[in-house]
Amino acid sequence: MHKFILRRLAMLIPVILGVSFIVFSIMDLTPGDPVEMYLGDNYTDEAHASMTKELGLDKPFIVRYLSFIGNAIQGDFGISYSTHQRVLDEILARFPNTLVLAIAALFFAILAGIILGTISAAKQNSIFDSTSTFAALIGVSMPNFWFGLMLIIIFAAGLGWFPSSEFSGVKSLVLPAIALGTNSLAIITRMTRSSLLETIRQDYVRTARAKGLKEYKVIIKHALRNAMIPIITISGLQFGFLISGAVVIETVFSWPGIGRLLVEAIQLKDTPIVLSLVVIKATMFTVINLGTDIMYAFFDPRIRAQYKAKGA
Amino acid sequence: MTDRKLLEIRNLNVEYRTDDEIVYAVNSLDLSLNSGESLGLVGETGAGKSTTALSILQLVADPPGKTTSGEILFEGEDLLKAKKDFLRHIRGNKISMIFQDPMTSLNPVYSVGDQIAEVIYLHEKCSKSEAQQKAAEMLETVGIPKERYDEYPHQFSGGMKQRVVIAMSIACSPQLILADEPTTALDVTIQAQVLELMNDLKVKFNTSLLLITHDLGVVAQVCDRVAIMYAGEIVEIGTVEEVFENPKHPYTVGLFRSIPQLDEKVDRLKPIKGQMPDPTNLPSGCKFHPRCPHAIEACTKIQPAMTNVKGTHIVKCFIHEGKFESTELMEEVK
Ligand SMILES: Nc1ncnc2c1ncn2[C@@H]1O[C@H](COP(=O)(O)OP(=O)(O)OP(=O)(O)O)[C@@H](O)[C@H]1O
Ligand SMILES: [Mg+2]
Repeated sequence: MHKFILRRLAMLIPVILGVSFIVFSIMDLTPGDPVEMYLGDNYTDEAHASMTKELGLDKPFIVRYLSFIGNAIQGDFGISYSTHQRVLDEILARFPNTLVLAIAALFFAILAGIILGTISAAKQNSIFDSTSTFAALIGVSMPNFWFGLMLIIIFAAGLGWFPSSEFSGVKSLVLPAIALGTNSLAIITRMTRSSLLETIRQDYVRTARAKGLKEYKVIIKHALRNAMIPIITISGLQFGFLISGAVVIETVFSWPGIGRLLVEAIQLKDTPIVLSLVVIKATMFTVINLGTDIMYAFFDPRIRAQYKAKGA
Repeated sequence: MTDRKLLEIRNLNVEYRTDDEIVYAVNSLDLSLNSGESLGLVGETGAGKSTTALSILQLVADPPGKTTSGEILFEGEDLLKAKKDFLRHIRGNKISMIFQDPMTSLNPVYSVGDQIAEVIYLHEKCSKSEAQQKAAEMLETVGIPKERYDEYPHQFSGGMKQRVVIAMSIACSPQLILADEPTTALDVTIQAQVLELMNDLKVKFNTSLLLITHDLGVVAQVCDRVAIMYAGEIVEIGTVEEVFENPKHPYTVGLFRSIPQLDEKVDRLKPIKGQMPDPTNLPSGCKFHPRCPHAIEACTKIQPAMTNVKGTHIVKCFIHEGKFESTELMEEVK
């Protein structure tokens, strides 16, 4: 298992090199002058030339790329063209917020999704089932900025239970996490239901019933455990999606995450910020994939055996 | 061996309701089993054998399965009317079931040992570790080294899985085991071992056995009595000697003719002509009449009754009701 994890982490290196190269090229090929960005509106030609030199933009493409990589390895991600701050500081100030929000939203989506999906499947075609199917449909199709606004209007402005925008503590996390997680919740609910309906019909579930187990134990211990693989897959995908930073939700709730940072950086042609964010995301995706695979092994001994065989 | 009825099924009817048709799987079935006795339930595929066994433990998938009427008395209690708690107390504890397909009967994500321990822990007032201890012993009982306790079903062969299923079913020393073709999935040598094992258990624990099979040879080896099932009904029932030495019902006679005999030189096997009737549209009268070489008009209209021919030997056929071609029957037809 350790070998397996190490090998997968080693795969991060080509992934990061590839992704950063592509992004670097795109940023280079799209129109716009970063030096202009850096200097603002009023500058002289000399200032422009010297700044071009200072930022290393006079050098050939490949040299610039390699020096970015070289510096990044030493933990230096450069200076933002627009704010003139160290990129690392900019990102460290924001990425944890995105991470916290994404984890909270995912936690909410998985917990509620599995519970709702399980009840739906266990009571197939009941009123609960059709209601939850209908709700899931709404949950998937509802634009989340609108839902976020509704939450603010009702629970923050109206009832005053939660702060609407000030960024403080667990309480301020609740509404944005719900707004952000609702889409995923609907998807996970549907996936849990369909996967569980599949396993509930299996012979081993009847065996469990024939042992005299209580019905909830039959469902949770025997059917749900076997239904977990597709639920894990979809949750991993959703997590990747949530962690990309939700521009809209961040805007609605004034949440200082990387979603807005990235959009602004792209507009301002702030290459160092864009590159670093993309590298962070690629890393996160790889780590989430790895986490998903480890979860598979946790739930299914057949997959565990496969990993062991490959790792040896 | 006492003569007390352990299980008594009366007038059981089970059907499967799908969107546009109803499968009449079990029809007015009567069956009883004494404690310590083993009964073979024999019949073609689709005769309703599994459905009968499943309905005893109320494990028929619902939907589409529905028990429409009848009584299933276990030690005098009607399981069809029993409360859920009582049924759970019976399941796996007093009555256990060995399912038809060992390959899919075990849960792939738990170790075989733990799956056995689960049923022990549930029904015997013991600690988890005692249950595991006993589960390991059960594995040994069915001939699997207890070192394999922690292995998963995918690491076992079909025959070994079947042994695990058997270990699970005998773990709480039930009074009745419902064995649904426990050996069909196994090769011949393993088959013999498994039958041997079940015979041993029967002697050791005085367990009753309802053994479902296509195989009359298996019945002869293991059972005291045999019931022949056709289209959801019992058509003949008696001790193994009674039925094997003197089969009465035309269907039973046909069954025996269709198996090869070593001591007789037969030119050709004689399979029963025709096919099982469509269970969604069963024939009127005797359900075997379309295939019966002796059928007369009465057979197409009136159901014969269960008639005791000799000793405990009971047959459902006009020939043995003594009414065959009688004027009385002719009257009834009109
Ligand atoms: N879940 C189901 N839905 C619909 N029909 C079913 C279902 N299960 C069984 N049946 C039908 O009920 C009838 C009896 O089936 P059953 O499984 O009891 O037969 P069996 O005697 O055990 O046959 P086999 O020897 O093949 O195991 C068959 O016609 C079968 O098609
Ligand atoms: Mg069957």
